[in-house]
Amino acid sequence: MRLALQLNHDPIDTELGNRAWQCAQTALTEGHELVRIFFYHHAVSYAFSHDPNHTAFRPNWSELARAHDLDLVVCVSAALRRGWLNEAQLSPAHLLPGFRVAGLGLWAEAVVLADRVKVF
Amino acid sequence: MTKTVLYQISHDGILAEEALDSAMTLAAFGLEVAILLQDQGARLLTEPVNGRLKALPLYDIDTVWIEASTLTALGLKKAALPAFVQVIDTARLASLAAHHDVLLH
Repeated sequence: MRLALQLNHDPIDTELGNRAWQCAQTALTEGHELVRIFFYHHAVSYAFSHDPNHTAFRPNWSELARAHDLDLVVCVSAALRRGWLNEAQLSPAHLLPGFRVAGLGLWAEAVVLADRVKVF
Repeated sequence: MTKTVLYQISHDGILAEEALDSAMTLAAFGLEVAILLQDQGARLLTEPVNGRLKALPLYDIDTVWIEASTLTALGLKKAALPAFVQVIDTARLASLAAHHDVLLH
């Protein structure tokens, strides 16, 4: 089965973050395909480096992407609105490995391609 | 067969605006999108962003639902709603969701 995940929550919501992480890991373990993981709304901040004191309990999406060749997409417009990006630099140094910056079209494409869609 | 999407908007402000962005993009990609306004999301009917709601038919989003209890809670009158907004009872929400392939919020 092909799954598309969208993360919307603020990373301070560790319960939702863990549920999304567990969903992704379980899907991969059971042989399902993750078409794309799209980071939208407040969840765009997962894609950028933070104060190391606040990252200890965050799911390591970069590592999961590296291990399973996942497509992690952070929404450009949501990241711009929240000041994580500026229009002069859409791939900044603080973008974490494995993430790419793109538009909502990639989320729409994932919804079209996926058999199931899950939002956290 | 065209995939159907029910997009639930239950927040106002930037989250509601982004939800509209997403719903319009999904529709532009050929998905059949309906919108369900609940709780604070129904403030889209009262704020300046209302102009964007009116633009939804341009994206072939012709169905916007508002939950009846939300209508009451926000003091909105059914007669004052735009013609394309329909009221749905809470008891029918499960049935509405079941008629769509994808549920987003």
